[in-house]
Amino acid sequence: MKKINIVSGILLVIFLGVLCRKPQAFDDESFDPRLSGGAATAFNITSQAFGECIEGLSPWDQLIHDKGDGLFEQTFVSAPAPLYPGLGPIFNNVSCVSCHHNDGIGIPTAGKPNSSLLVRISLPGEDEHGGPLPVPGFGTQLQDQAVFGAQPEARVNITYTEEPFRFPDGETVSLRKPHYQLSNAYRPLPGHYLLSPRLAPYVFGIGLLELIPSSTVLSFADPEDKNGDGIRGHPNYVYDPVSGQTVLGRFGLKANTPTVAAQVASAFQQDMGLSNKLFSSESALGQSQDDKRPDDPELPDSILNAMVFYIQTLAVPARRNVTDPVVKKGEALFEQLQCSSCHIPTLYTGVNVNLPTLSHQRIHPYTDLLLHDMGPGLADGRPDYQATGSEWRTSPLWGIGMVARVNGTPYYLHDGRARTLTEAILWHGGEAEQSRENFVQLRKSDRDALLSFLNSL
Amino acid sequence: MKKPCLLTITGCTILLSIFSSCSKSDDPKPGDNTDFAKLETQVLEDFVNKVALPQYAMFKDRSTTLNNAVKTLIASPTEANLAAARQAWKDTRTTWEQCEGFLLGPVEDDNYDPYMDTWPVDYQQMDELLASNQPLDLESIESDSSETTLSLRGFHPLEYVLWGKGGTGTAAGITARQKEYAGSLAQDILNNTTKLYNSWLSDGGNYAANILTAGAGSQVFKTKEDALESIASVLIDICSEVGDSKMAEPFSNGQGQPDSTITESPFSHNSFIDFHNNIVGARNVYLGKYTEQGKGISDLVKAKNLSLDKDIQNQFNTAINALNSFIESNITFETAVYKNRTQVQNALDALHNLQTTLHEKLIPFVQQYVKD
Repeated sequence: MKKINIVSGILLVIFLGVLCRKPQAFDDESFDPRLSGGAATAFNITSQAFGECIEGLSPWDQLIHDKGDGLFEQTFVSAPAPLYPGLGPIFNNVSCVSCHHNDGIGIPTAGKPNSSLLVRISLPGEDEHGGPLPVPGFGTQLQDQAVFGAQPEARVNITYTEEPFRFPDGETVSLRKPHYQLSNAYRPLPGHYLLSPRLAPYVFGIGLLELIPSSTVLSFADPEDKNGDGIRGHPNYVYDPVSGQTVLGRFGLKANTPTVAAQVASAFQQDMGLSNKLFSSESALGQSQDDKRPDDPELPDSILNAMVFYIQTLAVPARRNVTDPVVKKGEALFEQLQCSSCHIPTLYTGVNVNLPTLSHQRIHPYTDLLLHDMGPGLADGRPDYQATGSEWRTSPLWGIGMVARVNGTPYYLHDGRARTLTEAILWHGGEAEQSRENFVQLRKSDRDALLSFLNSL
Repeated sequence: MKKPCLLTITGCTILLSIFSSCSKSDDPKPGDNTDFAKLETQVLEDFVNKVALPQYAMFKDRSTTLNNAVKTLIASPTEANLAAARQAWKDTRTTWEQCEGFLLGPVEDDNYDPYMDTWPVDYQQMDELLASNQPLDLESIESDSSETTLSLRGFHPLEYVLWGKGGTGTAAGITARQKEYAGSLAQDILNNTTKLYNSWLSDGGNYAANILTAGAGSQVFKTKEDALESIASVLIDICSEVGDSKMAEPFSNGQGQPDSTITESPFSHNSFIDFHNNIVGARNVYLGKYTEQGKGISDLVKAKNLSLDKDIQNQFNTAINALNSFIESNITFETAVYKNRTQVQNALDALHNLQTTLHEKLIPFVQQYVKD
């Protein structure tokens, strides 16, 4: 036998042996638990933690991302002006960063230069696409600021009543329930209208969520509760201004927005009064504040495109203290309390050939992107497509432990009513009632462990 | 030939080791962890007491001077008083830009920027406001209530009144409405700087305590490593802000063309001074020095890695000198992006090198050596 034959024979055996191993995913231990966004994770623990760019962009793509970064902080001014014109005439704020401070959340006040809360409004019923029915003269969103000479649609007054809560072990917490009242409306409001407050959420990671296959999201739905765990969950289907079709909703606190592009374009038009290629008329169209300037769409496509790209290519902050035994205990409790039934820890993204860093990633957003009934405590009574007045989309929890670092005083939940994570958990009701009850029954050290876990995200 | 060579090397090594052990007695020796931990505490204390607090105090003092200068100008609109008000504006701005070298704490958390430094100015609205009979007193300017909301506050509207469009204003040309507006703007700036300073004080917001108690009960910084890494990171943030955005965009608008219409202080031509002060502010943090020398991150690096500290100091100086050369030769940024492109590119490169070293060397250094 020639040597070459022996070598070939051995190689063949090895080759066949390799073939015999079934292809399979790595087990959990083989992944670095810090990588919340997979390859799209950034290690930054400062107040800029939510504003990091993903790696692997080409120089041109990087340039567009940096443009978007600058534009995110750019103040827009009223037309005509040489730079960044088109603000208003009615608006909620003058730049993206005015509400999304440091790409993060903001302050639950309305109508001030640093306010991050806006109020949606509608009449009972549905528009032609199945969405909320606009209030004549007000649309579906209240613009509570206006340029000089124009009148804001209304002023939003927020008050809170404190409700004490006592854990079985004696620890007390005060829960504050918000109340919203409108005043100074520029024209009379109808007798019966529905309001829904929305606090600006942090903006990173939604490029990854956009790539979660619809089939994955739908696989979590259990509208009839066939598995009997008390948790239902169903998708929202919403109107997409790009395709003109009804598609799966992913973004917004009620999953009422289908894509990052639609989210960004509608924020430019509704929040800042900048008409653009997707929403080509002024938000004040047909109202007395309309500037009637023939400059629509006001926002250059290049700015809209750069902004969409910027948002898509923001990285997710890495987890911290992942080997801390208390954090690991909290992680186990998160599962035992069935928090993870809706806040699903691990998902896989699909493919966007233009963005390999976001494609095929194992990510930890802690959401199922579905709507769940959260009970009367959190209900706003305002339906939004298939979302009822008490349903909300499961909020992603990645980065939640960094909110205090990025935004100073943290606020949680859709309207910022919760000042601590404990308060946020205690507001959970409806399908989450049992998990909340399980949390309440934990002993203090276990509750703290759970919070340590959340703070490591 | 090998032997002498070896001897030379050995000799050099011995000499080197003798020199490196020549460090002053108050410097901790490499490897001495108790002393290093003490030094970490000292660096945090000095950051608060010798860098942050004195600069915010100076910011407040200079806005007091600005407010008084504007009051004098209103009472007596002479060219000399206008020049004094402009100088006071520039001085206040110098301190503000240096404070931007460490955007950490209340200035970030409570969003001071939109109240003081919003850009561009909304001339359309400002001209309409000045032409109207809407009140311009302090209360109306500071009012957040919907009907009078005008985010026309801070340095840039005041710059517009003091310099006039295109920088051609004269004292006699300032209208009565503009005077009232300028008076409210200067007072509003002073109110904000006072609030910012108080937010650090122990009898005010006491943000200082979060840093001073890092790793010992601080709610914000669980460890000293956490605090020091955060402080080091804000140095990177400001390099990026200047190098990737404020300077880079007017230098090249995406098609490689300059665009001087998107610079920040077009009337006072203050842009290079702004950039320069941003980086000086960051260096103050690194060295632990403002008016008084304290211990800075530099001293931590020196204790373990002399050459890294030397690199960082050199790169800070190179970037600062590159920016300063424009100021000394009186070249405005608006001109330089067209006529001095090589020089601007050099300054951008210097900023980029500094940013890379801070990101790739300083942060890992802090992570490696700060263990508590």
